[in-house]
This record gives sequence, structure tokens and C-alpha cells, in this order.
Amino acid sequence: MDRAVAQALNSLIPELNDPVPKELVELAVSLLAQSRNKASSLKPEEEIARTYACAHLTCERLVMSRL
Amino acid sequence: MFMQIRRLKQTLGLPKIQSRPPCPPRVYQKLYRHLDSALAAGARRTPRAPKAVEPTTPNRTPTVTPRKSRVTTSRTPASARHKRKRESAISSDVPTWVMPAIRGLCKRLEAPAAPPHVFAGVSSILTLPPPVQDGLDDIQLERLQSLSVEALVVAVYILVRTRLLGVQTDPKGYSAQRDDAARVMNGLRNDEEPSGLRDSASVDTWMREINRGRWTEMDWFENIGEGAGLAVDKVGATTGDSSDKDDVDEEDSFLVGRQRSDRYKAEKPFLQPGLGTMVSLQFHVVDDC
Repeated sequence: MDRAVAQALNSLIPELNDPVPKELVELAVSLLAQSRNKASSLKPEEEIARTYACAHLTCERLVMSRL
Repeated sequence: MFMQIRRLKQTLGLPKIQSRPPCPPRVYQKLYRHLDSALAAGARRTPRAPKAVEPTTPNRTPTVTPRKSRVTTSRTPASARHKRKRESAISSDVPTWVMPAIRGLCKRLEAPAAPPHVFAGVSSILTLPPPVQDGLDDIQLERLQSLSVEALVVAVYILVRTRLLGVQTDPKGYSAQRDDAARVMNGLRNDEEPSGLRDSASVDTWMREINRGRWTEMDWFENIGEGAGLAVDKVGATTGDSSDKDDVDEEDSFLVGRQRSDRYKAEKPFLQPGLGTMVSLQFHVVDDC
């Protein structure tokens, strides 16, 4: 699961250095786990994109949050 | 969660995000929006990680102790964990110098009925979630708190005073009240700590935030008797008297150089029962004894 998340993050942020920061992966994994709880049943075509969408959400929230 | 995001943001900067989803764009948009709302609701309910609480020193610090959940909540049952943990620690998350400061401020500005309301307001704003949950997230709220608790005290005081008097305040009147209160707060400070309410701008910022978050739509404000007046009534007199005596030591540490006897002499006109309290606007009562 972690590798899929890391791959998604790499794809989302091409500028990111390899390997992806561990904390970022953990955050995305946590969001993914939460999503399985909150949105447990998705259509098959949506389910495929779940991991990617959670990684995407993690990145967007990081960028959108202001100090 | 948000603390982790903030730390990560600091290390990562602001990266460019290129989205290439593994499913048709329309499907992905729907999925993204669905997850965003499902996880946003969840994120708000999860409690924030505990952070080390700054100790309040005897000569008070101007910063606020962070309103984080306390370690003791690990003993609470699962159902209680879903509640806001701040509810269990209202008074302890507010710095100890706040109440004596409020008393000093209200006394100097001749509003003896105000302190409990001002304290309730300040506590609520510092420890409870706002009635309006949109936009301002936890990080931004913490930044607001770091502004100045003294400015918050002044802002809440003005609101309480206006409500007790039952009047509308015009902008000029507001500026005058704000500057008077700010001056008093600075005067009450320990001379060793020059930092504090340097300007009135932070008061205005707090006012805007109180309006935005609709902080006055809470019990602390709605329980203030509108037009009840700034004076303490007969029933409140005894409680006001005893609680002042209880807090005498705290006030001494806060107000440097003031004599105890001075304080009691100054308080007497407000707390003496009978004088002025028997006369109401509607009926003129003549004492025959």
C-alpha cells in the first residue's frame, strides 16, 4: 500500500526528490485508511483511483493550508 | 494532523501538483470531491495531537498556553474521545493572570459587573470551537491566539460593556473605549515586561474574528443581561466581595505595588448593599429608616 501511495505522490509532484518524504507518505496512507472508513463502498472505476485521489488530497491540503 | 501538515509544508515549500488520474476525468472529479468532503468532516472531529503546554510563570508571560488536548483524556471512554477535549479543561487552558487582569481593567473603567462575563467570553473563545466552522482552520486560529490575549480581553470587555449598557456603540465611541482599555491594560502590566498591548490593531483583529466566528452567539454572551448595567446588584454583592478576597494573592502578584487597603477602599462604594440599589428608573423608593 505504501509503495502505491509513494508512486502516486511521485506522479503528482514531479519536482519532488526521490524518495518521497516518509512523513508525506504516512500522511497520505493515513488519509487513505480514513477514506476506507468514511467512503467504504465505491464503484469499481472509482475504487481504482482511491489511492491516487487520497495522495492528491494530501498534496492539495498541504499546498492550501496557510501558516 | 494539521500540525504535521504545517511541518511538512515548511519542509516542502509549495510544490506544483500535476494530476494524471488512473480513471476518466469526470469520474475522478466526482471521486475527489466525495473524498474531500468525507475526509474533511472526519478530520475536524479527530482530536489534535497533544503538545507540551508552556508553564505559566508567577510573573505572567504575554503568550497563550496552547489549547491542546491534555494527557489525562486518554483515560476517558471512546465516546468521550469524540467530544472536543478542550471542554474538560476550560479554566486551566487560560493563563492565570487573565482573571486578575480583567478585574483590574473593569475596576479602573468602573464596570464591576463585567469581570465574570469578560472571563467567560475569553475562556470560551480560547478553549471552545467557534459557532461558525467554515474557513478558519486550527492553524489560523492558533496564529490568532498568538496575537495577544490582552487584546482579546479588551475586545471582549468592550462587547460585554456595550451589552450591559444596552446601547449601540458608534465607531468613534468604539475607538475611544478601545484606546482607554488598552491604556489601562498596559498600565496594569508588570513593568519588567514591556511587551504587551503595543497597539490597538490587535484588538481590531480580534473584533473582526469575533464577528466572523460569531463568537457572541454563545452562552457566555447571551447570558449577559442586556441593559443590566455596569454596577453589581445586591445579590451579586456578597459573591463579588468574597471572590475578590479569595483572589487577593493573585491580584497582588499581578498589580505590582498596589496596597490591599487601597483596593478594598476603592471597592466599597460598589459593593455596599442598599446605597443606590433601591432606586430604579421606574419607581422612586423613599427610605423611611
